[in-house]
Amino acid sequence: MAEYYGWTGKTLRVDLGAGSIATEDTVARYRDYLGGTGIGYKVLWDEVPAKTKSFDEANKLIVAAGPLTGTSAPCGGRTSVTAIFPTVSPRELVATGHMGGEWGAELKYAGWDAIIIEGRANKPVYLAIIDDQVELRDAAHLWGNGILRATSAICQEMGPETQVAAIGQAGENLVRLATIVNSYSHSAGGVGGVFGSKGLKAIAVRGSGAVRIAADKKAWRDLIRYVLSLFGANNQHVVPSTPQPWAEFSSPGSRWTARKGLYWGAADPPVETGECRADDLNRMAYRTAKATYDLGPNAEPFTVRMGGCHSCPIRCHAHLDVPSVEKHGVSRYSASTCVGWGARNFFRSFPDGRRGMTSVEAAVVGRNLADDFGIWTNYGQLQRDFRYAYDNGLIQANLPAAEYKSIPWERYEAGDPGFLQEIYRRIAFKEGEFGQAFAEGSGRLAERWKFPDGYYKDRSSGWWKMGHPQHHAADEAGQSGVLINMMYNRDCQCHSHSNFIRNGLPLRIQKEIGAKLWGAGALDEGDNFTRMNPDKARFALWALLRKELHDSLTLCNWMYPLAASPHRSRSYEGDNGAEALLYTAVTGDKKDAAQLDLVAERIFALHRALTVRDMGTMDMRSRHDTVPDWVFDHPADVQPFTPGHSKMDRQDIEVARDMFYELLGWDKKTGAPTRAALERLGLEDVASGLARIGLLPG
Amino acid sequence: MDIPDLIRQASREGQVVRLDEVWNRTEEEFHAQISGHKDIDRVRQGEVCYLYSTDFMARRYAETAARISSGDIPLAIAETVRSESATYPRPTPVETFKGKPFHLSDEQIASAMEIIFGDPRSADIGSVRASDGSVFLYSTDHLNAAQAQSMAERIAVGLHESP
Repeated sequence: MAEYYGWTGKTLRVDLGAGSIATEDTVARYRDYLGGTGIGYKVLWDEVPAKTKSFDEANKLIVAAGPLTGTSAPCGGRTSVTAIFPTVSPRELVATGHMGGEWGAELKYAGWDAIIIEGRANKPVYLAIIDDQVELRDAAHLWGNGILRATSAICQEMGPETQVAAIGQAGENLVRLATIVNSYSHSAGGVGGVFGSKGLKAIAVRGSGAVRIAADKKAWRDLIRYVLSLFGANNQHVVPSTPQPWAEFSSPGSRWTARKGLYWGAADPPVETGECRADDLNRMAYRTAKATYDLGPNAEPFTVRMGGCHSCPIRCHAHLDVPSVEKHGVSRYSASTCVGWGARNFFRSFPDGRRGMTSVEAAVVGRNLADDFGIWTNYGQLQRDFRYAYDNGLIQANLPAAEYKSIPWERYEAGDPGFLQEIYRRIAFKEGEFGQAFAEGSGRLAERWKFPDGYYKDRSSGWWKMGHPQHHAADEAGQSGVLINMMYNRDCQCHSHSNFIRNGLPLRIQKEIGAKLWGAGALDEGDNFTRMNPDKARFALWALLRKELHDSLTLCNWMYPLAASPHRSRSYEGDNGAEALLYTAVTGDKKDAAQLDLVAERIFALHRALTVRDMGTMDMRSRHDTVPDWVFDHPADVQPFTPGHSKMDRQDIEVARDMFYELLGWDKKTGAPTRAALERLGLEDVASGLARIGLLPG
Repeated sequence: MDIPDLIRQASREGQVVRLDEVWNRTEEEFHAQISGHKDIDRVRQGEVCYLYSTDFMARRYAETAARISSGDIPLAIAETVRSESATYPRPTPVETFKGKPFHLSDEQIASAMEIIFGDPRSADIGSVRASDGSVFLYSTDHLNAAQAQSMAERIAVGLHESP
């Protein structure tokens, strides 16, 4: 095969049923889709029949890196795992789980851009990749084990440097709410059950190669340094969380939490994060002291260090040593970030308050159980559903009396972190009605237990649609947030917009930057929203296209886009073309930001086409792009656009849909892509495919 | 250490320097003396001139530090709250006043808030409490109560519950 820059040039195709392994040319087949989700959608469109269900043998798993993965492009460590997704309800549709860690980079070093998994093994296997040596190995001895033991066992078989992405008992037992986890703590949600349905316990990779870069060494080094110079802290927050002499601005919500007197307290000796000036790149890794951000000040003395993914200088992954959790039957060591610590939200309260030490213990106990059984939080919806069901008597009403009695509810009421063993074990093994119901994920749980209408209309339930919660919606970004939350089949997993809105800069500066990128009307004052306008639609589209771009290149959408920077000398502007600079330097394929956004639009449109095809309707507008009632109806006694509230107006959101569809050239009546829109993106075959089944507008 | 270096050192540590503590002649003479040190700038609090280095300290921080150095803590808190309500805009967590550049104790903050809420000159300063119990101050000149409440809830709880 030819040699390429960025891409290794090879995609692995593994038929588990036949036990066959084949090699395909990545660039010839998938270059127009970059990698990651782009390859995933393309394979599903070309090869998986409409209306395939997630656990059908015909479903395929596309585990894909991208041209930037494994390079030293900052934060180029993500991997996208695309399939017909088990938690989408009522009909299973395309979606992607995303994982960080070193796994994607290792795949590239082994010489592969992506793996297409098809068929079903007749006995448990794991896929072992050591450079060009690829084989399916017996996994009978691993089946039934948690992720920690399976990962350790495979590393003993293949070498300690092996990167292992494995499922736990939840995935094996076809729990819809299951993950795959690599490096013990980097998980991709929702796809664990698809692995299980195929009899695939793990994919283990060891590589000794490198990723070729088109740019010369100096140009590449200069570019990396430039991009790093634009970085803030996690989520591209560009001001510190506390007033610091060097900083013109600060924001208490910022993840740039480093300050004098804040320590990685369990390091030996303790390490002070100190003040990390924006111009001091060598201290960038101290900026984000995430344990205290996620878990409160009680986490400081238990923080060993901050970890993270390949080529990431930000380190958002807190590594903790909490000896007191051993009494709950889990390891004292734990690592995670954000909702990975969310198990504490199963509880209404703890004896020492919501952010007390018991809360930290619950977070660690829950994290360790979830990432060993391989259970997905669904962006916290598992915990919200549990609370809703418990508080409204739905658990008691739906469980047989003996099963309900077998659960030690007094430990739950007491805020005992050890209670989490009951929850996670029952879900992982689908024990009883409790385990079977929660294993199904939010949509099917609500249907199975006949959650009342109030669940869907209650803002605190978090429910958005199709079995998934809101993810940075109207509360933060008004109509733009609503549009972004409409578009996917799972929660939107988009941070482009929320990163910018939360970056900590004064609104005046945000608006100045926003005016250049999307137009003067794109941003509103916090909690003081105005009516829809075309700039808000542009903001939403930018956010979505960049998310799709990041999941395909791959880059971390928790850092990019770099719309803002921490530098007064740049008027706090970042570089909206950073991704294009990196892509061009790595691949040698010269593209500016607009050209790369067009590729992202192709990928985004293909996702839409897949959704149209598999739902069997063009009517995305009313049947897919839905908004929960609480967005419009809560609180009952205030009008939309009242300062202090994010309440939206139904007619105004209709206008938002019109403006958004128009930007993409989609049919306004249905929200489906038109032939012209698809052909503009080089998707003539997709247009013809939709036309053949009567799902192309016009 | 000469005066510019002393100012730089203080700025690095988050402190402003009172001119009259390092210079016993006129302000004009001082500025003539340090005209070659482009990073040395001044902020004024009443009649008092404070010095800082722009290489190590932002002007906004220097202004706050000068207010605190003047000893009028209630004024320093009220002005910071007004500034944040106008600039970002957002309410200010009371917790902020425990750290740099304020370094106030719980007792000092409580005492200052009592003065603020009883002083007609700070009638625009209001407070809201988030559901986790944390207290925020805001200026009614720039935020209304509902906005302040909702922003406080997001900062104290929402950002952590919906990361």
